[in-house]
Amino acid sequence: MSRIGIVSLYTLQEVRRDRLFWGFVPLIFVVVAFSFFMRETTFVAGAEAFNRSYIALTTLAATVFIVLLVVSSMYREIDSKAIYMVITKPLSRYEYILGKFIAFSFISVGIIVIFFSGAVMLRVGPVKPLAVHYILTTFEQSIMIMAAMTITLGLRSLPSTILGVAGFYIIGHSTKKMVDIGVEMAKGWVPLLKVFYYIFPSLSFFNAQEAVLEQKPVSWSDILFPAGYAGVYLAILFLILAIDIRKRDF
Amino acid sequence: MSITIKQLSKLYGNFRALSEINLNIQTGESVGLVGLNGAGKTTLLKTIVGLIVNFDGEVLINNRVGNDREAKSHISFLPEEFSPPLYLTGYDFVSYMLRLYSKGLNKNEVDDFADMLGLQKNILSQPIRTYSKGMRQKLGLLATMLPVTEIVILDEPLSGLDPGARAIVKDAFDTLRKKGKTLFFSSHILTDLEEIADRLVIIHEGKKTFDGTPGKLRLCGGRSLEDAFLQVIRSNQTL
Repeated sequence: MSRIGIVSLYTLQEVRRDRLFWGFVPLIFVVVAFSFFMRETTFVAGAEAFNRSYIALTTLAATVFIVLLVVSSMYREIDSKAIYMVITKPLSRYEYILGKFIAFSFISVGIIVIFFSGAVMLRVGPVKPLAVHYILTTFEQSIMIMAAMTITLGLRSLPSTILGVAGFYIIGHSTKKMVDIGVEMAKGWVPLLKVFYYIFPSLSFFNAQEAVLEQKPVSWSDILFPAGYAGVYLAILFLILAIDIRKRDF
Repeated sequence: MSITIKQLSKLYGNFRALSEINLNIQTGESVGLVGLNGAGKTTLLKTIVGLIVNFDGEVLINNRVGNDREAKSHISFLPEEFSPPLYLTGYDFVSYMLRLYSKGLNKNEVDDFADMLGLQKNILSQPIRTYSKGMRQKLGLLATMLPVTEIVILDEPLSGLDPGARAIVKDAFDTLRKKGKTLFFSSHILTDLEEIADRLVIIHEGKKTFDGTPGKLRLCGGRSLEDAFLQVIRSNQTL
């Protein structure tokens, strides 16, 4: 097995014994219970309230959960100096990053599969739009994992890291709205605003919630642009992290 | 398998942590690194193992750059006040470290070594979060000393250990010396160092101020090795 695979394997071993990881089980119950609560307490279109709530909450819960796992695991490794034992072995710092990223991506895919299966069983929407939505969520999660790793390794302070990752997520979901407002208010600035649109993380690409709820037609090709965007954004984040970690004194 | 350090300097902002250190450690030598708190001991060890990459000068492991993968495959390192990943078991952690050297886990060998360090076999199957501080340190020592690397570098390996455990670890050091491994370690406890080091290196305010045998250090004055160490620090001359 390659050294990247070894780092991934033991990261998974550690995470699966982490109490935080098992917090996922009550989280599922909370999400489903809250969605039922929304259905029962909404007078009009109760089923739609349930579906809307389930999709929004699963997307948010999956992201918050994976980010917490990444930050806590990486921070603990830095704080306890366990990272020193690993990166002084015959592996490069890039291999270490990639190993960690693969392990967390694997967990992320597992979480998304569970939420997707739940959505199908609870008949939240047609299967194909649901599949498209949760595939897009996986892309968003991979960006959030890489961002959380970059910020944790860069800042090495828990409060700053949490603020940094939360800021990244909020900016990611606000960029589109901010650019739309900007386009309305300052038409001359449209080209510049469009540049901002792509430079800042635009996490609104990774959402097919409306297609699920309004049963709009979706095609697999709807995934292509977000996949490309996610790939480019991941490469940029990896480059930032790689440059930072290569030149960093531990 | 030798360590060669040429004109090594390290700055943290305006603070000079290491200043033009020259050092040569030959195969099979056991060298103790001594200095007051903040003298630069940890910085020196971290530079050798590649944790610090921004420095002036040269660090060579068997004539290869210290940060090189081939050079790293000859070194194992134990950081100061280290704690292994809490949710792995002892066996998992040792296996993880060995696999990064492309070596498999030989349970009998691990058990023998754990026994030598006074670490019960059954505890190795338990998650590390259940270990005491001393047991975590012993596990770190186990994972550092076990790989078939020629150079073992340890930062304060005896810290956090009770006198009984220190005696056990010193015996383990002796075993490694007999195997011909090159040992380089820091410690505050000079009497311990006298027992396990062939040679002592003192650094003070980032500069190497002494390099020689414990016997040579004793000649620097005072009734004990500690007195002699303080004499060297106070005189601030390179000996």
